[in-house]
Amino acid sequence: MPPLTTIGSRRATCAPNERARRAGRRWLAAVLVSAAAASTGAELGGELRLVLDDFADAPGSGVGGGGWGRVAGRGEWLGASARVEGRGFFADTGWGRGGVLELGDALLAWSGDWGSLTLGHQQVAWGRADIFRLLDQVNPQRYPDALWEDPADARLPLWMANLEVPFAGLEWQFLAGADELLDAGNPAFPNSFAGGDSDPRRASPEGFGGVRVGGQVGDLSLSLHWLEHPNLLPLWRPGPSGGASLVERQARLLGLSADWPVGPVVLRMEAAYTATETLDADARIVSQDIAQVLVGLDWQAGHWFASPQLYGSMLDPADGTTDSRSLNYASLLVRHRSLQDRFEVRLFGIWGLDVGERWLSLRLGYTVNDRLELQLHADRFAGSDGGLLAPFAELSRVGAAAILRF
Amino acid sequence: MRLRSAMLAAALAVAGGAWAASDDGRAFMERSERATKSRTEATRFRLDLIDAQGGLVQSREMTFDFKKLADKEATLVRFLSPPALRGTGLLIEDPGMSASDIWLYLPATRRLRRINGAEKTNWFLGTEFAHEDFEDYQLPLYRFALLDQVPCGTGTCQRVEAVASDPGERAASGYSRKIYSIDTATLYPVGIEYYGKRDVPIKRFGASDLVRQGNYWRPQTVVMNNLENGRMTRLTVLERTLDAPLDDYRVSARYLRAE
Repeated sequence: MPPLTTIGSRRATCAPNERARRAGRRWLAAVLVSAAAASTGAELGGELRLVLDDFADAPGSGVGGGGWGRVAGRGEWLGASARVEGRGFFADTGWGRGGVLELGDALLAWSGDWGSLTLGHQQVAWGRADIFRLLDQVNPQRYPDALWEDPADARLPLWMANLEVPFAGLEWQFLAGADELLDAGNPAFPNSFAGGDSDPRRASPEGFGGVRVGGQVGDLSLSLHWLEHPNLLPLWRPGPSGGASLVERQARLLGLSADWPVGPVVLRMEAAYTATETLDADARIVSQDIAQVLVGLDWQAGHWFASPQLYGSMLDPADGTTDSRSLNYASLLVRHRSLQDRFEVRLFGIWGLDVGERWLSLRLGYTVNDRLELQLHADRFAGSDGGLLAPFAELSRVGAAAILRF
Repeated sequence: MRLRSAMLAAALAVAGGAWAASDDGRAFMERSERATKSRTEATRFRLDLIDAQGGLVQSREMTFDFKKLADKEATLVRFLSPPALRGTGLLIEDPGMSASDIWLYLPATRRLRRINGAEKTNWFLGTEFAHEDFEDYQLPLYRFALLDQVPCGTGTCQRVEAVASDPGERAASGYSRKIYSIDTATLYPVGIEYYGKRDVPIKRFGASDLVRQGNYWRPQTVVMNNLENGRMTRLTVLERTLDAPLDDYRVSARYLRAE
């Protein structure tokens, strides 16, 4: 059992049995609501993905693979559009094997010129940055899925109320909710969480809330973000006894997002300031501030799309116990579509400008027909201590996937 | 012209359809726009991608909502099928200037991504339509010249040449000029020839099976032929309403994200 670590009044993990029971309840709820949706004639859809991978750095043969599935029902109920989704996966990688069954979206949404109110288990995506997670902090994410799967599949939906209203020429969004989920790990991969626990959770649901306001000033599109008790990042860190401690980063997020079309490109910028709490090497609670800035541009021409980004973060311990530390990265996404969108090449790379980290990713996708897509993918991580990719010190993946959508 | 007025927006007030020969090109196009443009339009299409050999590559179903707002015109396109594209959408906000505001929503990311409206030559999601083909006549930005009259369908078409007069539009457009074929009876643009920057025809738009719907004429089928690669995109109307009440929400970023 992973160690229990308390920060303030928060106990940041709970027993595996209890977790299993909760997961079971969520999945059961998804199945029941899906069945109810199906019985009322709601539209059903979903996806099944089978993957075969070779992990050169994994113990044993390194041959792995797994399956990922999702089924969703949509319909109308109580004058709202309703959606419920169950999803799950199983993976075997050589480092480990495991699976998850969970409730995806389960929501009711009322919308009109007055605004939108969405109640239930849902995702809220803030920010537009690729990979770097400055503002996309409302929902926890699962790693390493968040790096190589679609973001919507890696985010873990939370129970919340989401109100969006246009007012005074601006778009306002108010969030309030409670949940016990934290960032999670794929149980088939080594992870950086305390005790290797891939599914750390709070002992009981806790509240969070936030506001986003966006508008347009001439060509400039701008939004401001505030999130109280944003997503927690449980990180592994050597403890005073040599063991592992669960470290919470949380408290408050203040952010800014802007994009601006200039010539043939769209310039975009995100900035986030996060006030966090964590444990120092002596297990004392300390505060630290993290400032992050990202500047990127999107350039689309014909069938080509390119998006370079520059990212920098500055971690500043508020109590002055350790020196401030900065991390700087560059990234590039290039995508090309051809054959009437049937064939896609996607190349993505990240380079650490001061810690020597890098990640290169190549994905080729071919749409065979309306339901079937085939993919080839290759990833090479080279992380280093203290860097964003540290959990993947050396990880290579080459594989293929068949995706069936219905 | 562009998809909206060519195949959706435009329509016609045949009343007085007899066009006066003394009208100049601009006046003629203004009459066509007045006659064919509804305040709102909600259409459900089947979209077929056809390869150079005539084979069907993919069929998609999509909705196309259009509304004239106080300060702009907004068009929202959303795919209903196939499953890989379900929920993918595009919002085009056209303030009547050379660059529109374009937002793309992908369910896989649940994010809205802004696309530079000045890059009008971008292809629209695997079709033979470019983003600029969704715009209307853009009357203030073009110079129109009347050409000849030719037989078309069962009637006669007035051919009108459009050349960008606005420097920004000239730079942003992928075309050096366009030649519209406007049906003189309905004032509907039933054909458009697009000339590339080297002044050779590169695409050809055609609208057929015009039917009267309320105050407007609308085609039941439109095609865009790419003359360079032989491919074709065909749109067939499944359902359409004109000038019916349409919430502003239906052409908003919020609706785009609502999937």
